[in-house]
Formats: sequence, structure tokens, C-alpha cells
Amino acid sequence: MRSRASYPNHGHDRSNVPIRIISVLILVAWGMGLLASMSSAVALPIAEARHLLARAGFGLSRPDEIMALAYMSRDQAVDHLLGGLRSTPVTEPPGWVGDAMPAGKVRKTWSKVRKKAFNKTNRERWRLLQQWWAGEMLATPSPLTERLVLFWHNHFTTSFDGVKWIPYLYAQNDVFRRHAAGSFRDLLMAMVADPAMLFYLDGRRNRAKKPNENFARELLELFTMGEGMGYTERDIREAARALSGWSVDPATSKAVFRAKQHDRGQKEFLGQRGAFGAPQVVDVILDHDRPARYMAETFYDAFIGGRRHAPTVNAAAKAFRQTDYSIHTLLRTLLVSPAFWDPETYGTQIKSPVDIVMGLARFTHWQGTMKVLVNRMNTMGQRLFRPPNVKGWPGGATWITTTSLASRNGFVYAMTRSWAAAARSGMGGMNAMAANAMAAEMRVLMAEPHRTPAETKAIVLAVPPVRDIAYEKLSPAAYLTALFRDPAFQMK
Amino acid sequence: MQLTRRGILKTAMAAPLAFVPQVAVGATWRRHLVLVELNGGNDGLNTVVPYRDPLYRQMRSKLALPTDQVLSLDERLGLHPALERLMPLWIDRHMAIALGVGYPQPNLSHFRSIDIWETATMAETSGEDGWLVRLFKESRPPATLPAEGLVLGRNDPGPLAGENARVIALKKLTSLRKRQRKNLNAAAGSTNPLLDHVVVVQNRMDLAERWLVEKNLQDVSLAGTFPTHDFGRQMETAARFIAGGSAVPVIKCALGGFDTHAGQLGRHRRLLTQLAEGLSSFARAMKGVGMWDDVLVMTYAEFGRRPRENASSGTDHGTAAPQLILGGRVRGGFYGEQPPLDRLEGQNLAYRLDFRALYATVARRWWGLDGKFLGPRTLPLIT
Repeated sequence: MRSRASYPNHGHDRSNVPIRIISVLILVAWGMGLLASMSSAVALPIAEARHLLARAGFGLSRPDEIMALAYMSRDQAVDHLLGGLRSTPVTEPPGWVGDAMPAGKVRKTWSKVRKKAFNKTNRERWRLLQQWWAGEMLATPSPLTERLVLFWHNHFTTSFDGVKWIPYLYAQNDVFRRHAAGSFRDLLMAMVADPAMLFYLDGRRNRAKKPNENFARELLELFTMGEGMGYTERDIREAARALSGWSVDPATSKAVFRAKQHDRGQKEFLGQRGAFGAPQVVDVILDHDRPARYMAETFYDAFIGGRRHAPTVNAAAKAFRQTDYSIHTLLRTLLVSPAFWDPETYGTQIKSPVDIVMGLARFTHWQGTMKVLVNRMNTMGQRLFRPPNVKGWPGGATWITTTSLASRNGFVYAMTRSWAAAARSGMGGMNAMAANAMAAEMRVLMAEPHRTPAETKAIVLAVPPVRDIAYEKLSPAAYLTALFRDPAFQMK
Repeated sequence: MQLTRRGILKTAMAAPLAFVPQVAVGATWRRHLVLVELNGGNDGLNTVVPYRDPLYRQMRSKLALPTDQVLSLDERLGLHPALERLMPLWIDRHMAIALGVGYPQPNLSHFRSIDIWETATMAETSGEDGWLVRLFKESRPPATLPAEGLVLGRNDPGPLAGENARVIALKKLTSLRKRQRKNLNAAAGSTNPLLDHVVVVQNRMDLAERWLVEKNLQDVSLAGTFPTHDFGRQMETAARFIAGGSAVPVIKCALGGFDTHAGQLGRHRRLLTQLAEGLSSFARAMKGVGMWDDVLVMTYAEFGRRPRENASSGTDHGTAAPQLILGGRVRGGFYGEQPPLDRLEGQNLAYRLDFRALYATVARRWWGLDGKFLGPRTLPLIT
């Protein structure tokens, strides 16, 4: 391996001339390729760039994010987003995420007052962790990373209802980011020994003498196989036996295997026999045909949606299995598929509350507090780190009820009210900072002479507006406000 | 199942045209069904307790309730002490307890089992309509009603989920903004069922808002006070709707947290206390406005829990469980029978009463509908 320090000498080394000529030639060739890719044949239309960014992010993207993909092909744009994935957050987590949980024995000695204070602290920390994640979603240069973390949070669900110690919830969120598009095998193994999971689904209470089958059931039903698909009640009991003995060590905040609590007997699980432990449970599950298909379907529903196109699901499942469960491969296969790019797919998913709130916050370069954003997501029905149950948020049509739609509309109205006001007076109403930022974004959208109202519409909306919005009769600000307030804005 | 925008717009537009707030509705639809979902699967054996059964104590060394604390209903069964507020209703014979309610070949998945309960179908198909939606296909509540169902608490319409069901989900009475808006018109005619859903909900919301502005439900005065916890608030909202003369046939409330795999005793006591507080306040308020005879309250849950406690002082997913039915026209007492602890199926209770018999009773004896899909059996629990 050459060290960086040797580079300056290269220019003076005549023996390297042929190499330099070749490099120049390569550069020229690459430049020509780039020029070629800039021709309309390969360029990504606004509607396609919007679609990709919406599905691989938070449902709404700024003009600059859309334009950054303008000179790429579809595959290049997908690879660009996948190449930007992060394994660590860009923002600093709260200082207490490394705190160790007071041991149960210690907590038992506490007074009522002390216990109350402990619960209050935990509730407060839950809210702070929500705010931290909202801040990360806002600041990240890779919305796809956080979209994937949210996907995993919704898949390997855990919740503040069941995991009172918030640092465990943070640790799991960190694992999701680390494995976001990595190996599903590694991620699954990490979940089997994840403190938050061990609390949430009672794995820590699963002992040889009296197995607790809560985690084993969901491992098969929700995490890998799908309800009733390819396993029996007996497989659940056998898996619970094999998974017994895992607990959380309060001293280290890590999962710990307690051999004495483990059922060392023979198990028969999914047609295989052995004195299985947790790693073998993961291996036996992944030897089965179901998980690749189940995960391909789950990813399809999340990123494409609508009626599943069977050949696309088959191809994704096959690629996933062949790469020993590379999530990157699974996701890429779906994102470059014709099913994903079919214009019929545009706007067929309902935005989640995270999409509505974080999409608009990113669009407007939100300068307000994270508390405001989190409160809005909570009232719209998506409390981060507190999904309704182990199945996560059901999503789809269930996002829209009379209550939640009122709250979504209220948020969009509030954001665009200050915007409209800023456009009129140059000053903000309720939220001057947001209004100014929004006005700046609006200027970008409106002031570029080459951009038509139709193009503006293509940036903001996935499908044509439901209401009649006549550009000719409206001021630019009123036109844009109307686009954001249309029911079509609920779609991505 | 495929929704067309045109079809939706037709129904969405028809409602406001026929909308007359004070119109009289037929007697059938003056009767309300209030469903209470005990979300997570309530532990039946610690709700209606076989307190004299030695097997009960043997299987539950940590969780068995002491005999002297159980509220005796007869020589075999007693209520959890946290349900004390319901005892007056039992004594007045306004509370029925259906025992051993379940269904054949029980499924222990939360999600599959609640689907079975809420659709009243065993078929392995997802996306089936809720049982009330199926029932209302036979005879539709008139379009003059602001909605067929009101969903409080958990934003899950459950038995009211389905094609074209007119359902309002509400967190608080004040959460609907009181402003008048025009109905949305047709958009470009692509087939996009989820966008159609957004449009329908928007229209329904606008309609309900107009209706609520007329009614002033927040000014309805009720006897007594309601508990301030979430379930108490839901029961209060339900009482206001009914007392205000809303004539919404179904109101669904939900109390969650019954999935007590660990540390069950304290949590279960708190939940049952909330349940009893909410239900007894509701009964008092309904009696106060002379409408106790017009309401039928019924609990349900995806399943009961396993008779034998687990090692975490909790209970795992089980099968049959008791359900409560309350109201002025209810003929109090026990229905079905307590599943014996010495004849378990696998490790679980064998059901003694199919839940569809309860639904059929509601359909035929409460609303005068047929509901053939609910099976032939009804119970004589409504006078």
C-alpha cells in the first residue's frame, strides 16, 4: 500500500508518463460519458427524481435535492442514494444514552417518591429521544438512512411501553443504523440479543424451567416468516426453548447469555433437530425459504406499495437469498425495478406522519424546536419509540382518520400560513424563521424563469391536485400554497 | 373490493344532500351499541374468578386472587375486586356475563385473532369487512345519521372497518375544527384507492363538523363526573354523543394494555379499575338522561390468557374468556358456562360459547336485523 506522502513525487517521475497519459484519457472518456449522460435520454425528469426521493426519504424533497439527480440515469440515482448511506448519526445523542440501568434489586429498595421520580425521568427521556431522532432526520445528508432506520423500528418493533430504560431504545436505534442496508443475518442475530427487544418481548424472562414464548412467536410471525406461514405452534415452543437464557446485564447494559437458564435439550425446529441455541435459531430460520420472500414482500410494500408485482417480488427474494441476505441488494433490486418507476406507482402511498412533518421541516429548513415537530407527529398518530403494538404502525389507509387528517391539515396550514404571510409582507407571522426559510425556498421554486407551473407542481405533488387549482387566477404564492393544502399532498 | 372514485363520490355526495340534522330516525337506529375492546387479550380467569377451584390456586401460585378479596357472584365465581363499581349493576340484573367465549381452533396471534373477532369470519383472507359493516349491508343505517360508527381511543375502526363504512374517529370533542367547508369535487379519474380514501375522509369530516356545530355536544349536561383517564374520557364522549341525540348506532371504545406477559397483578388491577370506573360512570350518565334502556355495552378481546401463569408473574396468550354485557334492557346473570380447568385443550381453556352468538343476539334481539352469517344461535339476554 502506498502512503499518501508519496504522491507529490509522482509528477516529477518521468517513468510514470504513460500512466499519466492513460489517466488523462480516462478522464476525457469519463467526461464524455458525463456529457452523454447529460443528454435527455439519460437525464432524470423532475417527476422521477421526486418519486425516488419521496419513497427513499420523507415524501417531499427540496428543489436542490431533486436537481442534484437531474443528470443521472435511474440506476445512477439509486446508487447515488445507496452510496450516501450512513452507519452513524450526524447529530450528538443525549449525554445519558450510555447510562446503566439501576438493577432490579436496587430499585426494589426505593421509596415510592424515588420510584415516581425515576418514572418521570424516563418519560422525559423518551420525549428527548424522540426529539433527538427528529433532529437527526432533519440534519442528515442521507434521508434514506433514516427512512431505513424507521423501517427497522417498525419491523423489529420495541416501545417505551415495555422498555422503560430509554438508553436501550437508543442502542437499538443505533444498531438499526449500523445494519440499515447491511446483512439481514447480522441484524437478526443482533435483535435476538438486543436489550430493548429482550425487555419488550420478555426474552429476558425466558428460562429453561418456564419458557416465555412471546419473543419466539413474534420472531416467526412478524420478523421473519409471516403469520402462520411455514411454522406451527410447536415450532414457536421449540424456538422459545432454544432462545432461553438470554437476559440483560444491568452492569454493562448489554445482552448476556446465562447458560444456567438455558434449555440445553434437543429441539425440533422447522424440521431440523439439534441442541439449538439462539444462533442456530437464526440459522435454521434463514435456511428456510420463507424469510427471503417475506422480507421482499415487506420491503415491496414499504417502498413500492399497491398490488404486488409477482416477478419483481420473486427477483428481489431471489437476489436477497443469493447474497446471503444482503439488504442493500434487496433494496436496490426493488428500487431499479420497472414496478418502482411505473408512473402508476406515483402517489399511491399515504404519507406517514413522519413524512408529513419531517418532509415539510426539511423543505423549509426548519429553525424551530424539535419539540414542536415531535408533538405534531405524536398527535397525528406516530409516536416515535412508542408504536401502538408489536406489529408497528399499520400505515396505509389507517393513517387517515377524521382526527388525524384534521391534525395533518392543521400542520400544513400552519406551515403555509406563515409562508403566505411572508410572501406578502417579507415578514413572518407565527414563526418568522420558518416563514423566511419557506419564502426563500418559494423564491427558488418561483423565480427561476425556466421553471413552469407544471414543473413546480411536479416537485411538490406526486399526483394531480384534487381541487381545481388554476395557476392563471392565482399569485405565485397562492398557487404554491394551494398545492401544499390539496388532499393530493397527503400522498407520496 | 376495488374502489372507484366515481362510486365513492356518489356515496360521499349523497350524504350531505340528504343531510337534515333534526330528522326523526326509525326506532331501531335509536338503539346504540357501545363496544369496549380490551386490547391485548384480557385475563379472564382473574376477571371472573373460579375462586373455589383448587386447580385455580395450583396453576397460579403468584397470580391467584385471595378468596376473601374476590367479590362473590355465586358459590363458584366471583369478580376481581377492582370491578367493585360494577356490582350494583350486577345486583340490579343490568349486567350479563358471558362465560367461556371463544371460537373453534383458536389462533394465538394477537393480530389474526382480533381479525377473527372483528370480522366474524374464520376464512384465511385478509381485508375482510368488519362484522358490523357486513351486518349493515343487510339494512343500512339511514344517510341522515351523521355516521354509522364513532371510534374513540385507539384509532382502529375494527368491526366498523370496511368498504364505504361511514365512521368518525375522534380523540376529543374539540379536535374537530368547527369550520364550514365545501365538499370536494371529482379529480382526474385515475384509480387510486388510497387517495380516494383521503378524499372520502375529508368530506366525512366536513359533514361531521357541520353536524357537530349544530349539536353543541360539549354543552350537554351529564349526571355525575367521569374519571379523567383516557378510557374515562372515551366513555364521557360516548355519553355526550348519545345524550345529545346523535343516533350514531355504534360507538367503539378501547382500553389497551391487557397483554400481561409479565408482572400482571398490578397492571391488571389498574386496568380493571379503569374499566369499572368508565362503565359505571357511563351507566349513571345514561340513567340520568333516561337513555339507559337505549344502550347496550359489550366488551370483547382477541383472547383470554393461559390458565397456568408463566415464570414472569404474567400469563401468555390463551383462548376463551368471559365478556360483559351491560344495559337497561339486559337480562343480568351468567350465559354460557365456565370452562373447567381440569379439561384443558393443549394448555388452554376450551371455549363454551361462540362469540358469534353474542353478535347474532345484538343483530336480532337489539336491532331486529337478520345477520345470517352470524349463525343460528342467539342468547336470551335482552328483554
